[in-house]
Amino acid sequence: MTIKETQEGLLKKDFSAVELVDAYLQKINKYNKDLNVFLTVTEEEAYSKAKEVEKVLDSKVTKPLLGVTVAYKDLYLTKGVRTTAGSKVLESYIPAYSATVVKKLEEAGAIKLGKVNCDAWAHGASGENSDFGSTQNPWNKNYVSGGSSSGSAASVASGMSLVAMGTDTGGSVRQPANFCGIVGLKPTYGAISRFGVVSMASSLDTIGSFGHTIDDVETVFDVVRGEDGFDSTVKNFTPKKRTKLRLGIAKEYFMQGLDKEVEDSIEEVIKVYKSLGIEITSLSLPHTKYAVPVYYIIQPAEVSSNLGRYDGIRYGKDRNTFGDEAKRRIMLGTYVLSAGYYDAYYLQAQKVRSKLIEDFDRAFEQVDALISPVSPTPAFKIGEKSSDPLKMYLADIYTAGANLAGIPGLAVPSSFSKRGLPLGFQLLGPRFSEYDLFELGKKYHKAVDYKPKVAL
Amino acid sequence: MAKLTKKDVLHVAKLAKLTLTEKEIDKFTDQLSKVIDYVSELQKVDVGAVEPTGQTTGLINVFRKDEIDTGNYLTDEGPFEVEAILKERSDPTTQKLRGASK
Repeated sequence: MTIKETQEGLLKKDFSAVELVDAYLQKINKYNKDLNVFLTVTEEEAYSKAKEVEKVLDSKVTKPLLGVTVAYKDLYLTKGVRTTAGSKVLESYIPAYSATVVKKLEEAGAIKLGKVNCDAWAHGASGENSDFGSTQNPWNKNYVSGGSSSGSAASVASGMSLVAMGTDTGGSVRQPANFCGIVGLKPTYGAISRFGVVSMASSLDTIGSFGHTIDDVETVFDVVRGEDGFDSTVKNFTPKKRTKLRLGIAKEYFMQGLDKEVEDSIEEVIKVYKSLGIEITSLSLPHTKYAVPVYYIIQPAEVSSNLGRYDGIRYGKDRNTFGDEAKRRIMLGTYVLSAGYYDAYYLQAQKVRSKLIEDFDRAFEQVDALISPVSPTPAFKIGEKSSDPLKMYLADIYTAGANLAGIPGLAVPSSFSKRGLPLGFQLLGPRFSEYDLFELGKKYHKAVDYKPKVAL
Repeated sequence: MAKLTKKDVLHVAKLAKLTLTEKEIDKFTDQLSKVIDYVSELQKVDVGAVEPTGQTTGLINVFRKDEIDTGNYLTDEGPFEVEAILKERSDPTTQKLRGASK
């Protein structure tokens, strides 16, 4: 189902909001044990919200997300509901307030189903770094769901929730969306308030959403974006509607290391765009190969300072409770910021970051969006990369650039691999060009008559 | 290769207030060395006179208005009262001080 279909069903009384919640909870109860998606299910709250939704329906008031079920990455503070960030450190932490995004979705009529699994502190690209066990890919249990927003992507792909919220610091929305065959948006840095969301790397963190269709993700984006007075990096913006959009292909995105099936599937997508009369230009982003090294200096540096607050006094357990990956990133960050190394690592990375941004700026003088892979391979097997941190980091090659430049990225599902794993692509645009990306994505889905599939 | 020594790892762990076991020290020395070696590649990039980027919004010094917003209270009932822990003193020193400040 989509948001539109759900709301039509509710209005026509094909089903009630309570029945809707029944159906989703049944699915959660049936599959959650196998897939490890939900860490907390807020059953009671969901039913009381459903009853509220029914009253709103009777009063004929329309709300953009009325009756839409949502799952939150366990990084979003939810008043009175345990929020762990996927870490044992916060195993018993119950927040006193809700994140801005949670409040906005609630006001728009969304029904919260619960909190979903993720790599601890959002550190990871597979979901395997969660202190509560990894989330399995709903399309094949032997494969990872991607990360760090593992549970968010898996909840939507498996039909346990209609939409889900995640965070994207280096690809943590787009990559799991890609691995699970759904739509995922990483917005422009500063488009959505992060107030009340556990911080990872503050100059890179963005609030992302998952859905089965681009329309659904767009509807959620409309509700959550804009200033709230609590996150001073947020800017309101008025979308410009452009009619003729041009696409670019960066040659650096199609070099060695890219899986053949992924490459071929994107070739097919490009053919579709060509047949729609969209102008396609080849160009170069010369600093692409430095995106991952820059990211793995700046991000751990910011992680080390953001995780400094977990001292066992104000929140949860002490620092010995951190898992391996958090420890690695804290130490890496502390190292690159420490006396004698700051200029060579941190400052140099910030300068190369400027060069990366220049690359994108130059590209967007010629084209309105870039088409690229999301990840070098489709979903990989559980355990395949977990023993080698560096190997896992390298998988961020196509996603980290957008975070460093602060630009939006939309992960769009396209087809399936021979093994039955989802394939897709990514559209990147200049800052605040989300609506152009939606438009381009929808053009493709319309041309191929895309029908979203639910894994279970 | 930028190799981290055991001493480096222990130093960094101390700065970050992390306690490591012997096994962890060995494991992290190896793993962190590999990552540091990899990111050292950046030192080869000619950055010229480019300014470093710390954030991408371009917003500078964003302040809210200095007004009381009851929506900002973390309790539902507004601010809460607690018993006073400091008592007013009546000994000569305080009285003298008070007199002086008048």
